[in-house]
This record gives sequence, C-alpha cells and structure tokens, in this order.
Amino acid sequence: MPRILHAADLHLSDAEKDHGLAVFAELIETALRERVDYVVFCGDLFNTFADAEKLRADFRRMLGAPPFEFLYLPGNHEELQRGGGDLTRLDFGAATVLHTRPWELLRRDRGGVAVEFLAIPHQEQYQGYADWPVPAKAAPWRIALAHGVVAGMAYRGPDDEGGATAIDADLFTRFRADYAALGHIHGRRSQRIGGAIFSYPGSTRVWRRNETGPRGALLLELPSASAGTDTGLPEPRFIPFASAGEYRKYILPLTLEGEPADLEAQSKAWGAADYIEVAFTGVVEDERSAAASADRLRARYAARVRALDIDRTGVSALPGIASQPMVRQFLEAWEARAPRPGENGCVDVSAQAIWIRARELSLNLFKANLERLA
Amino acid sequence: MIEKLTLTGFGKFKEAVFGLAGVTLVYGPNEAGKTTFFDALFQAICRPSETKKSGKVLKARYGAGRGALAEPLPVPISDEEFLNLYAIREGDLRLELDKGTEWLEKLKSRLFHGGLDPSAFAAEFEKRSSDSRTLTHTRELEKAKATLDQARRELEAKKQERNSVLAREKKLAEAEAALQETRKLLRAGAEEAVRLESEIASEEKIALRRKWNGYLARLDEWQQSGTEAETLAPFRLDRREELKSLRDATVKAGAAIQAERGKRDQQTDLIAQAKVETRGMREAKEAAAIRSAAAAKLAASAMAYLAGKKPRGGLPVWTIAAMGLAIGLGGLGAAWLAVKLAVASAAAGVLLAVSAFILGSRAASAQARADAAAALARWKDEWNLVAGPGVAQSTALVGGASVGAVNLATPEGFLQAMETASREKENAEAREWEAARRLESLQDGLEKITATLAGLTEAEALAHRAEKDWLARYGVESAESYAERVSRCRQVDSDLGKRRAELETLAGGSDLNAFRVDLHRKLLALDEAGVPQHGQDEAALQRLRNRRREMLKEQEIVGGTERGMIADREGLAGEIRGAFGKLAGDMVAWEKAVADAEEEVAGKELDKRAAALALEIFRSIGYGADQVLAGLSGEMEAMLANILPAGRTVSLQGLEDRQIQVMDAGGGMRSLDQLSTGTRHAMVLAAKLAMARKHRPGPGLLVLDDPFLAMDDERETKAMEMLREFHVRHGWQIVLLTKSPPLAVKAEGIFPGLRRIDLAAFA
Ligand SMILES: [Mn+2]
Repeated sequence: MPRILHAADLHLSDAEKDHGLAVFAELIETALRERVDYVVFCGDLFNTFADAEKLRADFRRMLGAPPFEFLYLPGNHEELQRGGGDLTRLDFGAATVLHTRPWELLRRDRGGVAVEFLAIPHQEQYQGYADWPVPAKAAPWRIALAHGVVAGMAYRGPDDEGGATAIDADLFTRFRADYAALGHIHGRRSQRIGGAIFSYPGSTRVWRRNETGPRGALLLELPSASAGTDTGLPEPRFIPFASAGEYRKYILPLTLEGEPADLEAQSKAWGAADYIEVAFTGVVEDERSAAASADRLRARYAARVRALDIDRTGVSALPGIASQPMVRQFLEAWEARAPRPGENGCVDVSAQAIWIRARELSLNLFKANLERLA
Repeated sequence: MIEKLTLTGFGKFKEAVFGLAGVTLVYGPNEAGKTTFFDALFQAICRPSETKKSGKVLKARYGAGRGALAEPLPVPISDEEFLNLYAIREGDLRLELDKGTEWLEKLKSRLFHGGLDPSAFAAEFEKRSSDSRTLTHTRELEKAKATLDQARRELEAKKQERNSVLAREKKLAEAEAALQETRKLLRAGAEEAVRLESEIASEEKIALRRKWNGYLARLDEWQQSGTEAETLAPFRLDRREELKSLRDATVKAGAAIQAERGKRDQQTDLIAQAKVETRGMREAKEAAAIRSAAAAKLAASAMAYLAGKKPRGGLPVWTIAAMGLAIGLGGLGAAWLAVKLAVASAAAGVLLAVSAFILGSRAASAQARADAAAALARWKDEWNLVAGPGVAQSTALVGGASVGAVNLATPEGFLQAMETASREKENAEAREWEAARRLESLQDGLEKITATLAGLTEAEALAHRAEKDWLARYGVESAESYAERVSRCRQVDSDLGKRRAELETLAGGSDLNAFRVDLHRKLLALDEAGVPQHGQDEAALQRLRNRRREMLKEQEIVGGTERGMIADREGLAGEIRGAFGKLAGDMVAWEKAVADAEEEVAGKELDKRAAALALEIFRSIGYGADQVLAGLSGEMEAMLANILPAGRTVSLQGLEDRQIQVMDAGGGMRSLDQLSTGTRHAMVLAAKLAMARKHRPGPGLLVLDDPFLAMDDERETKAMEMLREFHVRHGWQIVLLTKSPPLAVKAEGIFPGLRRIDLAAFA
C-alpha cells in the first residue's frame, strides 16, 4: 500500500525564510511520521527562481537522505526572476526534479506496488497534448503531477492566482491517471472527474491575503488492488500543518469616535504563524481616531502573530457627524437590529453581511448629506 | 453680515444707501418709512418671486421698478421661513406657526435631526430596495444578472464545444480504424488481383497449347479427309441410274414369278377343291348305292312283312335300322317320324315302335343280336360317311329316309323309296364321273403353269446376278451403300475444300506444311517453358477473367471509399487540431467571468437587501425628539433667566403656543397663553431665538420690529439684554426697528457699538 504525501505552493522565499523553512520542516516531519513512500510536490516550491537559488542549500540540507522519494515538479513561480538561470542546473539534493517538458513518465515500486508518475511541469500551453505519445498504463496506479488551472474545477475561490495556463481535465483522463496531483490554486479542493480524483492541496503555508482555512498537505493511500474502478481510490486525507498558520480576516465597524469592536475573544484562537487582517469600516468624526485605534490594535496583537495587517481604507471621516442627532438615532436603531445567533448558536452569515452593509450604506448617505449641508 | 443696503425707487426711498452694523437701530416715527424699510430688507434677503403672494404684495405696494440690494449678498431664505423665524414683529409675537408647510417640516427636520431628513433617507432607501424597473439599481442588477447568464451560457457553450471535440476525436479514431480496415481490404484485393493475373496468364498459355493442338488436329483431320477422298474417287461419278435399271430388271422378273406363282397356287387350290369334290361325288355315289341297297332290302323286308305279316328275324335289325335312321336324322326327324307314324297308323306305328323296342331287347337269338349290332355298326359307318362330306349327301339321305319313312306305311311307299334311292344312285354316279373329268383338266393346267414358272425363275436369277456383279465391281453390298458412298464422297470433297480454306486462314496464308511445322515449334517452346499440359477449361478461364474484371471494379470502388475516408479524417483532424488546449483556457476565462458576475450580482443583491434594512431603520426614526425639545427648553430657560422669576422652569412639548409651558414656584404648569402679555412676548422671543439658532447653525440675521411694546420698562430692558447676550454669544446680526424714542435711547445704552439710522433723514 504505497503512501503518497501531496503538497504544493509552499512559495519558499528569502523574505519569509524562517516561516517557509519551518513549514518545509513540518512537511518533512509529516512525511517521516506518516511513513510515506513518496512526497509529490506540485509546483511553486520556491516563490521565485531567485529564491530557489538562494534557498536550495537549505532545502538540500533539510531534505537530507529521506526514506521516501521527493518528487519535485516546478511551477510557474520557479520561472519568475529567472534571468538567464536554469532550474535544471540547480542541485536539489535527494529530490527528483521533474522538469522534462512536456511530460515524462516514471515508474516506481516502493511499498510493493508499482506506481507510475506522469509528470507535467508548468508550461506556456498544453495545446496538442492529445498527440503526446504517453505509453499505455502498465502499473496498478498512475499519478499525474501538474501545475496549473484545471478547467471545470471552480477556479475562482478566495484566491485568484494568475500566471498559469489552463489544463483540460481530459489530459488526465486521456492518459488514464487515477489521481491528478495538482498545484497552483491555493485553495484546497478535490473532485472526481471521470473516475479519477483531481486534487489541489492548497498552498502549504499562508503565502498571502485571503488564503483562509488551515494549510497542509494531502495524504493519499493507494490500495494494492488493481486500478480501473471508480471506487478503487479513496479520498486523500488532509493533514494540517501547525507551522503553516492561518489567514484570518475581521471586518470591524468603528464607532463615530473611531473605536473598533473588541477582538479579544477572537484573538484567543490565533496562532503565532497566523496572518491576521483587520479591516475597519464606518464613518468617524476624526480620522486620527481610527489611526490611533489601529496603532493600539497593532501594539496589542502584532507580536502575537506572524503578520497583522490593518486596513483603514474602508473608513471615512466626517467632522461633526458625532453631534448629528439623526446619526445617533440611526446607530441606536441599527444596533438594536443586530442579527441574533439562531438555535444552533450561529449568526446567519448573510444576515450579518446585510446588517453591516446597511450601516455602511447609511453612513455613506449621512456623509453625502452632511457634506452637502456644510 | 449685511453691511450695506441700497434702495432705488422703493417707496419713499428713491435713492438711499444704508450702512448696517452688528446691531443696527432703525428709528422712525409713524409714516417715516419703517414698514417700507422692513419690506426692503425682506426683499433684499428673500428676493421673493413676483408670482408668489409676498412678491405680488411688494409689487402692488412699491411698483415694478423698485430695487433693494444687500451687500454682501446673503444666502437666500424663503419668505415663509424669514417671516416666521427671523422677523419678529410686534403684531405676531406668538409661536403658533403655519402648520403643514414645507418650510415648517424643514424647520422641524433641522431642529430635531440636525438638518437631516429621515423621510428623505427612507425615500432614498425605499428607492434603492425597490424592484421598480425604471430605477438605475434595478437596471444595473438586471444587467449584472444578464451578464452572469451570458457568462454561464458562454461557459456552457465552451464545455459543450469541448465535449463535442472529444466526441469528434473518438469519431476520428473510429474513422482511422475504418480506414485501416479499408486499406487492408485494398491490399487483399490487390494481392488477389495479382494472383488472378498470374493464374490467368498461365491458363492462357495452356489455352494456347490447346488451341495449337486443335490446329494440328484439324490439319490431321484435313489430311485424313484427303485420304478418304481418294478412296471415294470411284464414287465421284454418280451411276445410280445404271444400278437402278439393273435393279428394276430383277424386280420385274421377281414380279412375273410372283404372278405365275399366284396362278399356280390358284390352280393347286382348284385341283384340291376338285379332288375334294370328286371324293365327295364318289362318297355320295357310294352312299346312294348303300341307300339304294338298304332301300331295296327295306322294301324287300317290308314286302315280306306285309306279305306274311310275319317278319322273321330281320325285324330287330330293321327296327334298329329304323331307329338308327331316326336317330341319324336327328330328334326332329324322329319326332316328326313318331308323330307321322302315330297319325298315319296309330296302332301300327305304336305297335311297330313298341315291338321294335321289345323285340330288339328281348331277342333271344344271339345271331339276331349280332346281326343287329353289325347292321348298326354299318349304318353308323354309312352315317358317318354321309355326315362327313356335306349337306347334299345328308339331304339325299334324309330325303330318302323321309320318303321311306313317309311311305313306310305302305309297301308302295317302300318301293317308291327303293326306286328313288336307285335313281339317286345313278345320278350320283354321273356326277362323280363329271367331277373326275374336271379334275383331270385342272391337273393338265397346273402342269403348264409349272413349266412357265420354271422359265421365269431362270430369267430372274440372271437379272439378279447382273446386279450383284455391278455392286461387286464397286465393292459395295447394296445400292444404299453405293448411294452412301457417293454422298460421302461429295461431303468429303466439300469438307476438304472448306477445311483447307479455314486452315489457310489460320495459317495466315502461309503454306500449311510450314504452318504445321510452326505449330510444332511453338508447342515445343511451351513445353520448354514448363507450361502445364492441362489446365482448366475455357469456361473456367472465362470465369477467372470475369473475376479479375469484377476484382478491379471492386478495387476501384474501395479505392474511392478510401479517398473519401482520408478526406473525412483530414476534416475531423483539422476541426479538433489544437482545440484541446485552447478550449481549456477559454473555459477557465469564462469560469472567471461567471465568478465575477456572480460576485457582482451578489454585491448588488446585498446592497438591495441592506437598503431594505436601512429603509426599515429610517422609517422607525420619528419626530418625537424629546431631547431636542429639552435642549430648546434649556436654552430658553437660560435666555429667560433674568426675566422669569427664580425657580421657574420652561417646558417645551412642541412648537405651538400651548405646548410651551412654564412651571411656577408652586410647581403648577401654565401655558403660554395663561401668562401676562409681557411675559408671553418675552417667552416667544426667547423661543424664536432658540429655534432660529437651531435652525441655522451658523450666524444669521434677526429683524425685530418693536417686539417690546407690550412689556413694562423692566421687562423691556431684560429682553433687550437677552437679545444682546444672543448677539454676543452667537454673532447674529440684529436690525431693531422702533418708533419709540425712549427705546432708541435705551438701546444705545444696552448694545455697545450700535449703529443708529434715522429714517427721517432718508425720506
Ligand atoms: Mn502557481
């Protein structure tokens, strides 16, 4: 029963070297702990080619001589800032770098079962793939590795990662892949298409804003039974990485005096590697009060997390608004209409959104009216 | 702040310029133009339209050519607002305001909501949450939805296109397989054609051998025909006529012989007949002789019987003879005889018959019995002779017997019968003689015929021999055989010519011997080439050729199919070539477009629903603005601090006179109309100042036209001090018009920096 750990989009960078390498270390630890036979890394291991050059020594050292095979498929980010460089000339130690374009086929038999790896590194376009002379499947399992956007897999999620070309799902079914190990889309998703499983593990770490939810890798266990049946392959299991951190975003309406809602309760769940984004909204009497609130928030929480971004672009200032009786009246009536948690103890997200938006729209209308009056 | 008021053609003031300060006192006794000045200030500030009521009044009072200009130009204020709030005049010092007017609503909105109108907000959000299709946001939402639908359709179209490409690819694979299959067919067909070709070539050589052998056989036949023709040369001249004449002679002799033989046979027959006749005559002669003897005997017996009436010994014989005669004559004769006997002499006849029988049977004499038996036997023999030759003898016998029998009764009869029998015996002898003569003559004739026949036979033998000799000369057995030879000879001669002509044609005009040699040479060449001796027959070869022709036709058709298939395949391949990668990109692009449009629609729908919530909130914000009224009350209280007795508080429930109440020291509430005129005026003045300031957050202008006339001196002073406080604290410009000289003097004392204008100087 071969075990495969599938990860992608770690985006190791010199700028965030420590965090990236910590997550990479957890990836290696997980592979060892789970006694996997293969790690398939499906692109954007490094944030840029320059980062690959700088960090490859660390990579080699940390990977060492593992009991599993590390298959590394380059993505579109390894092409960035490449200059005259050539990834194939770089030494990635024990890793097997799959840079042969348009494809290469490897056969392995760790774990007592033969597995074929059809590696399709990132490329400008996949046109003409139907004519690739890929040999017929000659092992119980075939795993395809690719980096790009598979058409039909709900590309637009919370992360809109451009820069890679679209791949037709037919490419994988055509060449009889049982599992498409994909990379590039930073949101985790898995889907069965034509009897095969297509999976994006999501980014290995929070690389940038809006990468919500836990980050980690997918563990795939290949049954020794022969392939070819739809039920032959179980869904991969997600293993979250503690070191990866999470992206958490809070939209905080400010009072007219610039006071944000309290974050203390939410902050209890924050981890040191988390990426916190706070977005202030509302209309305030004095802009400086919002800035001061941001400073206070930063002073209080910035050290507890990997990054704390406070976005004040959603705040507008209008002197005198605090003394407007109707604004006061509105805010009281609005507060009274805050959505209450339902029977399940949860607040209806859409009701919450409507409520917050009603405040935003109203305050903007106040602002426009008061500016006209002045 | 208005610093200068310029009037032209305005009532009394034809050409007047007034300089105004923070507080300006305008003094003028009655008819000095105080009201005109107020109106001019009203026009300069409100600039009422000539179509409105106040505009018409001004025009009626001062004419169309009037002019009033305030500098710097103040922000225009509606005439209602000015007259109700900023102009405080002696005549209307009460708080009762025009209800339901637009400006009052505005005033209330300003007073209670800081200039913001919740109903306007509600209206705005009602609009934004409405489904009305004329509204921009609805149109935008619909547009966004249409964009989303379009993007979804495009995405779906791309997906279908992709699926169609995949389907076409499958079809292409099938077409490819079909093409390979067709090519296999073509190859098999070509191989079959080659095989057929070689088989046909081989068979054709064999056929050639067959043909040449056929020519040789014909040459042989021709030569054999020549030999036969030579053999048949004697028959070339047809001499069948000659043979026929010979034949005819033989036949003629034969016919003569035949005729003579006929004669001879006839003669022989005649002789045999004559012999029979002769024998018959002789027998008849003998029979007649017997009868004659018998009749004589009978007559003698009868004579004797009759003479002696005692027959002797001879009776049984006679009786038996009579019976035998009767028997010999047959039943009829006997019966006739018996009847005749009975009739002629019944007693004698019966006696004769019975006696004959009894005597015959009882004759004791053996001699008699022997005589009777011998007589019977003799009669029997005679009978047989008579019965054998024929009717004539029998008739004679019967006749004799009959006559004898008839005449039996009488001796004469017996005698007569005896004579008759004797005559008959003579006649029979004569006829026998004649017959013997005729027989002799016939036998002589036969001898002559036999001699003639011998001559004829000899002649026939001679003719026959001549014919035989003729045939032998030609070596044939018969005339038919000769005719056959003649015909065969003609046939052979004719065939020989034809064959020669044919062979010469085949030989191509060359010598037939050379032709034969050539054929042998060619056949030898075939042998040397190893061409088999025997192959299939001509029909089979023809079938092979037909098969080859069909094969080529089929190949042509299959070839056409193959070309069509190649074209189809090229078409399909062209359609799908490069589609895979491109379509995936398009699909992702449309997926993005769908997501964007969904986001936009969701955003717009969120805005709409948020607007509905905001609408609900703004509708709930009413006019019950206790706080505002409390604030006003406090302000009034502060202003009235010096006017009202200590411990009194002001309570404002609304903006009507009765809603302004004052709590007196005892705690009782009194409304405005329950107060003294002076106090009431002071209260109204304070309320108006408070409201004016609330209404207009920045500094404004107050025009007061003798508001203190109803007050006593002390209240008047305090009210003026209250006014001064208002001016100092809020910076409002004040224009105070009065007709009272003491008040004018007092004002100069209370307001520092007051500018005084005496209207009388301008009139
Ligand atoms: Mn990527």
